[in-house]
Amino acid sequence: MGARFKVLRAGPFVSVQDIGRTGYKRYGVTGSGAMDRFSYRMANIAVNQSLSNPALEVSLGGLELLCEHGTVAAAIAGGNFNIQLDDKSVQSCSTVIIKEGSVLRIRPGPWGSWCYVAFAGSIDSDSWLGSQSVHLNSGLCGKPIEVGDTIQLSDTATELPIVGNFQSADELKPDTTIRAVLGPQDHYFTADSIDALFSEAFLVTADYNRMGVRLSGPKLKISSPLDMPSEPIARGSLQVPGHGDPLLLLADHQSTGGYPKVATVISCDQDNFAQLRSGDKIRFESLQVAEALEAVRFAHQSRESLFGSFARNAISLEERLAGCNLISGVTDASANTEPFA
Amino acid sequence: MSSHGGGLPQPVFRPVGDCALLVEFGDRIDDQIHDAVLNLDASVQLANIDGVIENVPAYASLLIDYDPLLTDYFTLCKQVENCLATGGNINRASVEWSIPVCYSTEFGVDLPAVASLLKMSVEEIIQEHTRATFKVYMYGFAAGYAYLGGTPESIQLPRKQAPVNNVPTGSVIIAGPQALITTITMPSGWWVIGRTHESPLQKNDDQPFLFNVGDSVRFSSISEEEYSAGLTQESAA
Repeated sequence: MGARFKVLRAGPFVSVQDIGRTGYKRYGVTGSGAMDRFSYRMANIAVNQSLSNPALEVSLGGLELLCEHGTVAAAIAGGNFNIQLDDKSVQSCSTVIIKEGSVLRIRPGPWGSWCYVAFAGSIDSDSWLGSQSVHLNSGLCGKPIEVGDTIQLSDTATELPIVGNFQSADELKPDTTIRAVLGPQDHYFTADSIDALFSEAFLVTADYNRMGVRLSGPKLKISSPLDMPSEPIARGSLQVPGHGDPLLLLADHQSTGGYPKVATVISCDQDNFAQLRSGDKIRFESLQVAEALEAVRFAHQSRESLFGSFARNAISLEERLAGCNLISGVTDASANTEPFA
Repeated sequence: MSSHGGGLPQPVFRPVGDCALLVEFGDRIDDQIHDAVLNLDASVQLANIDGVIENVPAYASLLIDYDPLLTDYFTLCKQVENCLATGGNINRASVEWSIPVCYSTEFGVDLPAVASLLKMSVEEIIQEHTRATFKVYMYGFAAGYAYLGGTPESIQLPRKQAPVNNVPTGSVIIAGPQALITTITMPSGWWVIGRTHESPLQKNDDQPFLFNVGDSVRFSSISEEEYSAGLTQESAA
């Protein structure tokens, strides 16, 4: 079974993303993948797909899709966007059944910068070095989604164990405290700058794309001359060029760089940060490396138990086939009583 | 304890967030330091350490990405110390590549300027560039961007005052001791001295990148006719 969509509207930076590529950073190829890996995973779990199933990553520019052919189940999760399926509003973190002729509209909502549309099926798009993640700067794995594009799906399913809204979106609202481990090049900075990094607020600026975001706050100053040759860069690095504003490097960051990195945001907080918007104010909290390990393992367990709760809330097939009114009001109830095709 | 690099100071271990370890061998571009990076890179790969995802070698440091659910910084540091202690004599396979370059002034648009600045003839610049052996120090900036070191001192120039737009793919460019072959059309402040069909970024998934870090590269001069005929090192061999 397959389905086909026509793109009626698409903002900038809307693209196919998956868990990203590994193994090629030594050749200058960055990881890419979803900006918010947590929401990307959540959407895939809701449609019963593997954790590497590519999804559509929707930016604040929004996306409007017409289903030209077929029927497919999908989950939409991430920031709290305004979502409409034809004339029905859909809460963020819901599954829907999209039928031929239906239009799915996703626009920015109360909060959040990215949301994910994961299908119960496979997106047929370019693959490069083991991943379908579009790398916007190089164009080596396809291009961002544009008006008029066709999105072809294969191996689609039209039924899901998880029906309707599966998670309160507002419980996922991003925290404005971002945890980071000092280094690896903190020794280049003045003591005052290190103090300021962890005591003062920073503004998320509009200088924001998939490579990273410029923050504005106290200027971070270098105490010794910059003589380091280019070093490898990790996702989450707070790199400080000559202007003194830290750049938080994200999914499409360059693989190496010659500017010093004052600190590194821990992996789970990178997902959280990605859902903030320009104009938001953040504070950094300093963690020792052992505390960072504890924090990231705790976050992993919390996420796993959250994902587990979706499965427990899933409505059994028997209940659905019985046609009971168990479905939350977000989708057309008749769509959920169709037998498996 | 270890014999890496012979006389180099002990490397410094630095945590990079919760997912990576940076091992710094020095703060300058130096062949001995780079060899120490490559030795550790090879030794960590050979050790097949649980939780290690990938290594990223650079001029003077090695980044080791790991999965914090499978290992942790402290465990990894101990394992990497063992690699340093035992990995000094790894026999790394290094390939020497020969890259055919057309040094015509149509492609090497900066050759006349380089010759004039260095008070040499264009032929002498080409001779110097083709007699040198370059080393692949690292990839960076963009996919397939292999930074080569080894431009002879006789033809070293600092980069231009301002970058020039639209330097075409396949350009052979130099700045200071460095050289590279561009893999995308981009602005660059380096000096454009030739063009090649041979790209470090290959278009097949079996061997997506031509060079490995640590490989040697030599450039050979080909005519405009040979360039037009699409000469690459395979067809030259």
